[in-house]
Amino acid sequence: MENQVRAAQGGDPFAMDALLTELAPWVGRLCSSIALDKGDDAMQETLISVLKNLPTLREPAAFRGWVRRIAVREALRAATGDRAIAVAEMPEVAVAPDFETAVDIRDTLTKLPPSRRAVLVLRYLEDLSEHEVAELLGTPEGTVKSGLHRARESFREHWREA
Amino acid sequence: MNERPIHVVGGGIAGLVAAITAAEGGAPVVLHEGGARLGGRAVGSAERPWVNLGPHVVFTDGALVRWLRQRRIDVPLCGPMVRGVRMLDDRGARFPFRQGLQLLPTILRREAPVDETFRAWAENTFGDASADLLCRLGGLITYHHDPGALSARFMWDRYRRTALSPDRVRWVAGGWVSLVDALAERARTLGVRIELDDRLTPESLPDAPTVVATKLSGAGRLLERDLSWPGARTALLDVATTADPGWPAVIADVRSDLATCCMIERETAADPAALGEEGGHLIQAQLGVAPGVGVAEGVSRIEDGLDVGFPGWREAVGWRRAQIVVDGTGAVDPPGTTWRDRPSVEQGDDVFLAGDAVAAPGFLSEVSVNSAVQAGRLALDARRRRAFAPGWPTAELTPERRLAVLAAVLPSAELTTTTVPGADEVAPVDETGPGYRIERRAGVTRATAATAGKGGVRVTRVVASALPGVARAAVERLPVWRRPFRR
Repeated sequence: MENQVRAAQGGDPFAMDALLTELAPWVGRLCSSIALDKGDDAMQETLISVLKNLPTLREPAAFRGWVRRIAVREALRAATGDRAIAVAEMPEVAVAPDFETAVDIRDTLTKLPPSRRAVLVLRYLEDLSEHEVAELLGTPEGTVKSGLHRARESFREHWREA
Repeated sequence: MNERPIHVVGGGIAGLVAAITAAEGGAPVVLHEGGARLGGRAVGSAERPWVNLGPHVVFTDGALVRWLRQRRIDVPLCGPMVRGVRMLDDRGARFPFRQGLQLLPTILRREAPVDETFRAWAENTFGDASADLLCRLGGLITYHHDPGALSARFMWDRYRRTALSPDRVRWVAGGWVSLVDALAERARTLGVRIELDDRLTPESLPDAPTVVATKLSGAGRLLERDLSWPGARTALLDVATTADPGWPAVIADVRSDLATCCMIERETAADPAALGEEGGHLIQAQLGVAPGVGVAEGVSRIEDGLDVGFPGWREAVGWRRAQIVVDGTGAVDPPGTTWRDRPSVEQGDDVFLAGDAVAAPGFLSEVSVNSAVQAGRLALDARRRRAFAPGWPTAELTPERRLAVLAAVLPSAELTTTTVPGADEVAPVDETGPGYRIERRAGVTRATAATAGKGGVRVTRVVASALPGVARAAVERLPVWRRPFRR
């Protein structure tokens, strides 16, 4: 992957194309889980942003983390209609999602605000630590912890079973 | 999600490509090879693995070479071999000027029907004499004993591929074993765990997602279902000689006692190291033979051609290898069928097939690559679904969205969309997915996507170039033979 990133940085269209192939499944999943129906658009914007800003990436080894950051930003932007909302300012969910009876992760995600979805995606889909999630989203670790707390047990059980 | 590996059964070209595809997608991959060595049919005998089983070529515009280039996997290619090509007909062996002229009108014909035999269609379209020659020449591209009996479309697509771009034929320097080694090295770099001497049975078949990349017969036994498709039965004669008194490079023996063509290649003319020994020369020949024809009979007919084309070869023989290979050269489609009718890549329950006889587009080994990439991708999807069932939402990068991304980032790129009314089918273009192709010629990058929809096929193109206006306009007008759709 690092060689491909270097080649794409040099403007090689084949390397860029191959990079799209490699990134698409992962970026598509990240974006869709956060932006739901607007996931397609968020993925497209992410990939454009990644390829456009690739020359500014100094260390190809940091590629994945860098792409993840862009994907989360674009997905949140698509989901919230361009309004930049910090996670800390998000209101608590009015109706707590019923994780026990949730049949579909998508259903469950729909009931959450985009920024909370981002927390769940980063923690469980991407397997980041709470500290890393907080850092990526630019929120206090405590906010991430409390946001995850309610969802954790039932959600995790639900996924593990599958 | 972290541990569930994707299992790939079979360590030939298809298995290696599927394993690399899955590993590139971030999955842990285990490759199970029943033999002691990777490579399957791409590798010769144990004592001379670099001597291919019969003549082997690749096409520079094909799925295999493009896939390798996209990944910067370096496999040395040699050729093309234009000089020293002879056609041996009842009048003798000559450079095929006359036959070339005779077949010239065929370049105007783009499409052939699926339902007719190639022979019947060619007779109606080009007349008996040309049809007869065309049917024989089909032996070069099918390894079949009676190419005229196959589907006209199958034959015509392949004939056009080779006849219109003979300059794209290449030999893998050092034999296909160099290709296998390069693929194996990439697989290992990506962390694929390779288990040799690991012959699986239906009982020991690991948990899905699984890609079965063996011959169809082996896949059928492993999955306990009927998997079959017509293939070719081919006699192979490989001869090492100590002398080379200026022999031709390639002889296509199309004499009238055959319904097909006996292809004889002097491999050392393209790749001086093909034999792997100092000072020796390697001649390889193939002839499609009917069921019931034995090794001795098939090989003696090949030797007749050698006697005419390579006089004195018998005295110069160092070693020889003769055999009959069944279903060793990929699927052939009978009339009324296309590649879509072959055993499907998707076998249900997250088991996928890859190989040269499954439902995927392409030419010979390209079928393996195309099906392996598809199987690898589907296995990745399946693994994700299984790990997170009932599933996180995902978005798919459609060819059109991919083009939108490329148009936004490539310098001075232009995006155009046209609808071709009346076109009903998206032609499979390459391994990047159905209906998508990217290519670069003379400094101009072109990407094309085709989507079938209401009222025709929508074709989207991105053309990007750093060239100044006039040069760019000239290059963009270069003809493109392959169309991303069928009428």
